[in-house]
Amino acid sequence: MADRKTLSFADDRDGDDSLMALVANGDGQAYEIVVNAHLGRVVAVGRKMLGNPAAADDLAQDVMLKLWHHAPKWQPGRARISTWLYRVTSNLAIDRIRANRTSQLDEDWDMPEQATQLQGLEEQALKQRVDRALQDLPERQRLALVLFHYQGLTMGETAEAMDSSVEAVQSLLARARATLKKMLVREWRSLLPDPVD
Amino acid sequence: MTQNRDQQLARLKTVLQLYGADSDRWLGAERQGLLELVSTDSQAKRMFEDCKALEDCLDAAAETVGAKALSGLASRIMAQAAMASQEHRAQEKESIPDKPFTRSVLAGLSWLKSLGGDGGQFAGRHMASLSLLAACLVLGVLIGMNESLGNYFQQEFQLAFFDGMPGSNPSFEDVLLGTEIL
Repeated sequence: MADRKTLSFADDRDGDDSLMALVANGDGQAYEIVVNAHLGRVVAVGRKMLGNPAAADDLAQDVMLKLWHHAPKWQPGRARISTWLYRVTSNLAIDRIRANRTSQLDEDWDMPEQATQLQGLEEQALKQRVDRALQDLPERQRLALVLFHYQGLTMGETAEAMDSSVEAVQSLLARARATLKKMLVREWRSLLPDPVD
Repeated sequence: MTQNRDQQLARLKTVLQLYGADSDRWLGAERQGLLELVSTDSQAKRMFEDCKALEDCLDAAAETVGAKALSGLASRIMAQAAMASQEHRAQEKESIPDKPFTRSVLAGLSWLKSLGGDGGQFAGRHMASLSLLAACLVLGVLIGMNESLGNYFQQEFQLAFFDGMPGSNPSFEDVLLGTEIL
């Protein structure tokens, strides 16, 4: 069995399996390595999917605890920790969105505490408009975009995390981009080298 | 030539829809050709710039989760996991019958499981033999502790023994009543 000290949060599958073997034995330090390595991504996906940082934190906590409980059943060689986490995060996020269709974006959560510069305010406003547009996308399209664009997963990894085919993900991404292009037409046109009014 | 250009533009449109404007994410085999098209064709350039502008919008909404917030959340998760483990251990303890023998067997199994390296491999390879040995020991102890069960096995043994001897065919009652057979 690998020594935890020699394991970073290595993305290679063997490293993941060794870490999970330690976690399965109740090794708190190994679990802490996994949490610290992946928590940021899980929270980021949760925020983009749920549009609310508090809900995203709750989601991330549940996902990480699921990993802790799942550790004894971890099957070496089957998946990376990151893939497993993305998949569980995706499923839980979609479950929560469906359970709470009426949830709205927190009005204030993105506002800077001390926004003194106009540029900062404009950036915040743009972020809010983009976040609202993302929230208006169907959840599967949103998820595909979050994983592929924001998390930088490959098409294959996105498909694996979504338990879907590459072709289906491609279709979701194309529709998501087409919809966002219409919804954010003023925003993206203002960013063109030669803005068109 | 025009047909070829139309095909290339159609392909560029598809690639932009699927992969976005980051050419590093395009398929390697067609990347160079499409970039050349973007640099030489005004319509292709426009398509590319539109897509790039949309992606810049999306990037403006990228999440940056502060280290402090993550650290606090990670601490809460660790505490929750520790609590879950304690509850699990407590439940396991409650589910173990309060019998010294059961506890001893579980302790032995736990010890075998905890053996690292060769010990663990030895236990794994000889698990069937060890199990049989343990079962025999348990049976022996049980028989020894239980007098009537011990008598029964003694009688069964005598029957089986005398069955094999020529001219001897005692009944079970004979053995049970202690009748001299020989």
